[in-house]
Amino acid sequence: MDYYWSVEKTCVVIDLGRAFTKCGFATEAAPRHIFRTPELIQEVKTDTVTSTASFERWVQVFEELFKNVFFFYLQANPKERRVIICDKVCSPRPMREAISKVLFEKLAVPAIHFVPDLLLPLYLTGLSTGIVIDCGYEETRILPICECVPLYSAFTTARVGGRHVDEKLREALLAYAKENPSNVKRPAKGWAGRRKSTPMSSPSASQEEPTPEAAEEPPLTLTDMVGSLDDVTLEDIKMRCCYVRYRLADGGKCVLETSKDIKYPLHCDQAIPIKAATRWGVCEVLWDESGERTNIQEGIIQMLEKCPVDIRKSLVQNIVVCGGTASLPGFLPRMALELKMAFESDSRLHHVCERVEFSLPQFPPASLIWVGGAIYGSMEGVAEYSAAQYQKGVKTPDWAAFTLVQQPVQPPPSADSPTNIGVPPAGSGLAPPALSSSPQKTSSSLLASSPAGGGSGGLTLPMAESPQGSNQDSNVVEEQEALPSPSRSQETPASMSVPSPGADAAKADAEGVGGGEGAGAPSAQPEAGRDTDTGAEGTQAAPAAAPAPAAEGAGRTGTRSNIAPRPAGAPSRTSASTRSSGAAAGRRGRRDDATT
Amino acid sequence: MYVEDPIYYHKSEYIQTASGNKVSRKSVLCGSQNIQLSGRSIIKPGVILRGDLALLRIGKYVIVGEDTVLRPPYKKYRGGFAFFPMAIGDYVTIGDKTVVNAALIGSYVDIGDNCIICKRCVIKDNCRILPGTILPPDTVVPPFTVFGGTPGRCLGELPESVQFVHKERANAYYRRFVPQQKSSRAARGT
Amino acid sequence: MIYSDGYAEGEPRVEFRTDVDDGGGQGAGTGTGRLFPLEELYFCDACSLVCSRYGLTEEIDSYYCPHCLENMPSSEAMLYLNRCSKCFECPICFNTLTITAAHDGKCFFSCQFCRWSSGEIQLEAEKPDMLVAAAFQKERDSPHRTEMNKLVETFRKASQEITRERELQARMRRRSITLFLPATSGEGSKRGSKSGGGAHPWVVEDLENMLKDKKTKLKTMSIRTTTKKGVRIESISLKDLIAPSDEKARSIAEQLKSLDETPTDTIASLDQRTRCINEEAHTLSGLIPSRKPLLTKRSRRCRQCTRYVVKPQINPCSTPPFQKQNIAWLYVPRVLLVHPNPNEIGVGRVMSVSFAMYNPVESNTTARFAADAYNRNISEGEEEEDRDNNSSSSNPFGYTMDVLTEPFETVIGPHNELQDVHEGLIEEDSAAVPTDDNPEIITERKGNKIMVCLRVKPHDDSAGKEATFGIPVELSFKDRTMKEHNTHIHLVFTLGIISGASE
Repeated sequence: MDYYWSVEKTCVVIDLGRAFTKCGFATEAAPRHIFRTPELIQEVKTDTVTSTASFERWVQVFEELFKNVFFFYLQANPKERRVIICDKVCSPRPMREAISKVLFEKLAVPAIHFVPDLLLPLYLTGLSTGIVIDCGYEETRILPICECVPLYSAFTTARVGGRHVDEKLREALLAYAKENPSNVKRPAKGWAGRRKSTPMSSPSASQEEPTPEAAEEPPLTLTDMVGSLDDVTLEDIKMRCCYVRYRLADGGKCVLETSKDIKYPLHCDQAIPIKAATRWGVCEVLWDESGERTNIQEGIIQMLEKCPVDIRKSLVQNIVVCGGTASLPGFLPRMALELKMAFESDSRLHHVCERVEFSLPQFPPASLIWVGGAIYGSMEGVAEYSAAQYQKGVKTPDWAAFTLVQQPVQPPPSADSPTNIGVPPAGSGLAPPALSSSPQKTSSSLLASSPAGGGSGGLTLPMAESPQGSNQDSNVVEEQEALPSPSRSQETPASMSVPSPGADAAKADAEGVGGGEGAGAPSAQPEAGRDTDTGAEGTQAAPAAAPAPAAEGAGRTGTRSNIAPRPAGAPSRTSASTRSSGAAAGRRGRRDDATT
Repeated sequence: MYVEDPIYYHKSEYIQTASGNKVSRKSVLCGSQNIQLSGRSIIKPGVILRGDLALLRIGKYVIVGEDTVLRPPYKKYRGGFAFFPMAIGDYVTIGDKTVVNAALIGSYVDIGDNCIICKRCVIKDNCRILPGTILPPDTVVPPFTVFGGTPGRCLGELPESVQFVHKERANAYYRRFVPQQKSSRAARGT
Repeated sequence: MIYSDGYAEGEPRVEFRTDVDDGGGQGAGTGTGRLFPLEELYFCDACSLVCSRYGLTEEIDSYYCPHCLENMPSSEAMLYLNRCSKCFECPICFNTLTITAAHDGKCFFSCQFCRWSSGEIQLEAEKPDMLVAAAFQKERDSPHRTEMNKLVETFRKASQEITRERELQARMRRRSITLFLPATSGEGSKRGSKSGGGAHPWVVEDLENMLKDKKTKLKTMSIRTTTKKGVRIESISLKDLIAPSDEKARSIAEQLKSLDETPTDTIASLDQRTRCINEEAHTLSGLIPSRKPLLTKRSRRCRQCTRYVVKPQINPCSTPPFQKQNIAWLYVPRVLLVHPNPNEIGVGRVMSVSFAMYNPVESNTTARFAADAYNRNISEGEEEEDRDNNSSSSNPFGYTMDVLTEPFETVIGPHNELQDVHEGLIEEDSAAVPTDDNPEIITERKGNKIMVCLRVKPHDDSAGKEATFGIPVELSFKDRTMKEHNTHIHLVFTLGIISGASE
């Protein structure tokens, strides 16, 4: 394992957002450049891991993108920079592989870190538990994270985002234009040409040139003008004119809702009239209760319902909102209002309402993920996918690999009876240990620091260790060193939890992840299991797995079986970490025993 | 990209100088003693060259599009203006209806139609100004860049071959720009 | 970023296909490759290889400011965040700012384009250099920076601690593997066996205590009390946020309200916000001038022989601008299409395509056209099914036209530098090249130029698609140093949109 301990040149951090790509250097407070994401990346949907685009196409897109990022935007020689990719949770495998291929083969970067983007904003809160809500362009993604462990089983997306606001805005503007037909001035001729620069660059055009236009053109109507608005302008109108309406309970002063019609200046003399109601009306789609799509507050409720009962209260104490759409004025208060209403109508979640607390990081919401990546990049000892590994044929890490908890300390599942492992009694009030009890143990056994320190430190580790989990050439490591015994035992829990009731979907996940360990699952394919293909399966299965455990008990099982395998990946990674987790492993071993 | 068809003009409309310059009779050359054309340049109808303000040096194979104005830049001093010379390098093409007040335009430059190049701009060699660009006063356009927009800013870079490409274009245009053969198409630009 | 105009769909053009992945494992290839105009191609004279910028490695040689054109050493550039130390950009229109002196002797930045002045944001100074320093200070004062430094410091420390810890444990463990185990679990009896995992009785009390502990903690404790030292993030509870009485909530509300009151034209656009260092500024008054981003001079090397293909001079304005400049334009014949008649392109119609080729080198260039290489039906005797199967392999690039002209070979005369200068004065010496051309194919020959005419026919099922066909060409020529080169190029012709069935 080559670590680049000396971080002489800071890493490059790239956040491939749906609408905008942010790039910059680690430890800096803001991305150096923010630009529109190439179209192909925008097409990737969150809920499908597959992508229609071929691997070659991805390579071409990323080659162009990264060349621009390195040589035009960041102006850094890629040979001396590690790269942190803030990775979508379910980005398609070809895309990820194309990223590795381009960065290693074409640009010769020393190492890549794929980091799940939704974990990163948590760094800015200094806490290891919380809910990250990314209200982006295409949709809103909600991920709970408990003690550094992302609970992917509770990962929820709400089908509302900036794009829907844009759509509404276009509709509203068009409707207004139709109701109030009027003509607008044409922009001055000739100043808009883009192609064809000189008389000679287009000989054919210059021959039959004389342009008899201009004279008898029909007047430009407002409808035409609105209809011809491009997405970029539309987005600009949204950012400059629109806001999220809210009205606080007392009906008093704290109201954000004006009756001011405004004009959005377009070209020189043109302007688009925007009605007051349009300004807030278009954003209502985010809280749309027509049932047409999941709105944000429903998404949060759904997510919480998928979470184990015990941790809900801690989760809601730290809600971080990020994403471009969240920077609309009034977004946060409105969300709070909607959430309150939603909680009150849900008897099971009623009690968490008063615990809800929003973190307000100093940074603009749109770049929170990037800033988190920049902090991640500043840390030492974070694991990576190195060029050497790539050349050896180690497959590109899968997101499943990151979800693995580092310190596999995880002791038994339920408090009192080991036999109960599969299904912890509903409402037992105990957090599934894999989730909640880990940091304490972790910190006491592994980290000399305080539990708190351990908690956040832990956050550095999960990503730190696991990537190698699934791809590390652990064969070699394991054969050389005697120690893996405990580590082997570690992955057993993964397999143990699989058979637990009602977690078929989770099983796929577990196998996928456990597969990373190789010796893993009882599937009797010890070595082959390590192949990332299995990992890929896991990736695909996971989203499916998420909604599966609907019932509470089952939900928890699902949750745990999704999490439990995490330790599995971890041990295989470095000999160092394996060793360090020895004690933990021992404990795990016992737990296995108990289970069987 | 296409094989070049000739572009015809009516013989009576252009004056061809000994060094191969083709200057439209419909262009306005103010203070012609202050205008230096190095040869093989084309000045199209409607062009105004303000040699009366300061020296105007124009290289070879420079094509100035219709209704374009070349006007030496000035600087305001206490109590008045001071004009200073404008220099244009070789193989420069300037589009139609463009106003150029630049202090310097290098060689192998391509300026589009409908641009406004404000006073004292410096446009270096091997670059390109997109049509419709407005370059505010004192803008510097570095080599191998593309400027566009209002105000003009760097939109990208040009490939290393741009020198040859622009040279070939200017060359080819000059080659194609020939007097009208008898009974051929009507002269362009009338 | 190379600026390119792009093509409209079906716009007639000739491009070169490069970077086709031939399984050579050079890393440059991607499947069916990419299309480039000749202008954007390079030629490695050591390997006689025509390639695009993606087939070359790139390296940054030097940095310079696009406004003052001054070079900046790379270390300094890094220090100044790849921005010029003297030139500033208008936060409103991104034009370069000028320093202007007011009547009272104060200096301020002003924009010659949009008339913005730094007086609007209280950025003024006695002297120009003080003004620059003040602007720097404004940039440094960004609250994000301080916040970020704190966070980075904290997390870096934490990660260092963990790393140290881990190393320490690793070292200890190397000495004795069992060191950690016995204390808690007893000897792992099955340790080392792959499948079993350690089977040990676990101590129930341990666990219970731990869970109990955790449970009580969860109930009583706010998770915020565990925040890392040094990191204090503001937060607001839902209750407060929607309670109008709360001070913080009120200030947020008022802030938003005031925003709403501001006229649209003083609200920063997306572009302005993203380009400003002080990113979250909502109104124009919150924007501060940013320093001019630098540009770079870059060299390119061949991926195979790692020799320079392009090496610029350090100074951005020096002439000639390059130390080495092996661009394809100087080696590979230029191809110019005769603008095709769009009405001729129809399914089932044989049409002729004419193009000119200009030889740029001072020797004869021999060109061998494998005209029918990518035809869909290579051997006519084949059965229908076979043809279907073969179509994808013989036509991997999705061409929609067949070339009916047989493969042929020809020589293009040498380029004569003097032609450019004394055009028309020198009689072209066409005797140097053989004249036994097939007049059907080589329709004209003059100096370094030939005119070629090909007969092509669109596929039967290609109506509505772009009319394209490709021809691999092998070239042999000598460069200035009389070194002989054999290289191949792949010409791709696009003629227009194929109209539906004819007749």
